[in-house]
Amino acid sequence: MILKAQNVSKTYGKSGGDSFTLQIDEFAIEEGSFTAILGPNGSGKSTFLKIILDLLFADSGNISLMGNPHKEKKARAKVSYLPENYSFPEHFTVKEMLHAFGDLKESTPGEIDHKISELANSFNVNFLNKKIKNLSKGMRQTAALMHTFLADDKFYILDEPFNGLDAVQKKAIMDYIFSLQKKQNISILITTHILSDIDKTCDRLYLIDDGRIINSATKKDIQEQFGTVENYYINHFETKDSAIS
Amino acid sequence: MIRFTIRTLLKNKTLWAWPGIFILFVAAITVWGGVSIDPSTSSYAISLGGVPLPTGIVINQLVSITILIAIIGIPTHFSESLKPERASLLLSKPISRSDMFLKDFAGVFSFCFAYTLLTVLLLTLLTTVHGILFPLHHAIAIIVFLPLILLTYYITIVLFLILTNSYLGGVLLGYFLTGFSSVFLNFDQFLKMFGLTDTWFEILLHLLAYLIPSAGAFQQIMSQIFNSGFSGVDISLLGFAFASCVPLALLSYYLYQKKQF
Repeated sequence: MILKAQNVSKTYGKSGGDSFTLQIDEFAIEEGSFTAILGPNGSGKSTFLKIILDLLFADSGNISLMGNPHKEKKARAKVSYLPENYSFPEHFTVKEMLHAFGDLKESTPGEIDHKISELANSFNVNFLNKKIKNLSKGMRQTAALMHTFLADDKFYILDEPFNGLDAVQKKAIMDYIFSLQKKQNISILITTHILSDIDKTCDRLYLIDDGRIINSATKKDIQEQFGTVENYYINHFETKDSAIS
Repeated sequence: MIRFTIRTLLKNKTLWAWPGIFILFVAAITVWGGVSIDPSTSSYAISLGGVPLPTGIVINQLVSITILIAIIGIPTHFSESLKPERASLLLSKPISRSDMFLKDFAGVFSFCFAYTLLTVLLLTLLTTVHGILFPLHHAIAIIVFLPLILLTYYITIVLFLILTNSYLGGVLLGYFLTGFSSVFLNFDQFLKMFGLTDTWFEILLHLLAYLIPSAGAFQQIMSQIFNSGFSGVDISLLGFAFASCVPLALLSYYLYQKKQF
């Protein structure tokens, strides 16, 4: 098992006012799988991802990442994360940034150069020598994705990875992810609002709302019962909305 | 992580202002001034436009400018790394928070050392061009103690960066508090000056002296070396200077471990 989370709980704003509780009773990702977490804004998707990576601390619960307690640094040795919001050093060129962050994964400069060429080819990137501050939103996102796929990891956690990308770029990146999955049996955990992106790719989907997983289904279940991920999503959230009203 | 810190610091244009200013200073001395042997101190004397500049003051001013530019420029990378957008990128790597914190300090110290080395090289160049040997004990004093002075400021700034989440707040509070540490070195005079004789107040000042990283103590040791060589160094003051850095460094370390991004 790549990731296993049990009884994870975190509450914000305990001292009155608006409070939010994330409560994940059971969550698991198998090796080589493509898993998505879907839910409305503020439902707790990013919070959960940050707890997995020990950027936020859970109030209680157990998380095992790559077979190790998630707080240990060796748990993150073969994990790569693309946050929804990120900030790279603005005065670095894309290539310098990739070298600086690749170095943190203890890759050698030669390995990093090799991987940069491979990713630049796969993602159709021709702005390696441009400074980060001069990049457009789509270019920044592509650079961020290059940073994510720089090391040969086993588990990729991608928070809204296709933000700001055009259809061609998105396809190039999806193709790259598929080729990695085939070649290296990587596991992916993704959050996205663009449901069509994951229609045919996801092995398992979790729906999260108000900090709780309200449903989970396999690709087969969704195809048989709802046809598409979009129908599956709308069905659950419309039902909930109409129940409220 | 050490390399990451150094790479980020090398890209900081503010920090490149110092060599720039110093090169202009050397050029100004070369064109409009001069450097000659000062018989009274067996050192050297600098003049600019016919006005003699006392060596001690020149060196102190140069050190002060280095400190000012360094403490404005150096903390920017740590301030950035405390933002969730940067911390998410760094701490999701196989790096523990302890590694991150300690290696950042190691990176900053290495950078300060190189920065100081550059300053001394330029000073040596300035005197050598005029046929005078830059005193070795001056060079060693600057190379050893200027990075330590910068580190004392950095320790306090890091604490306030963590507490305030603001670059400006961290730098200003850190700068003033560390600068204020000089007062504790002569707090007997300070108490007399304000007519304060309260024992508890005296104890409080004693305590504060050990709680705030003492840039003043390192500066005083550097002056002792300038004036009387290494034999003039007050070892107890040196011990005090190092001890004063420990409490806030440990507090920052603890708060960083507890910080959520």
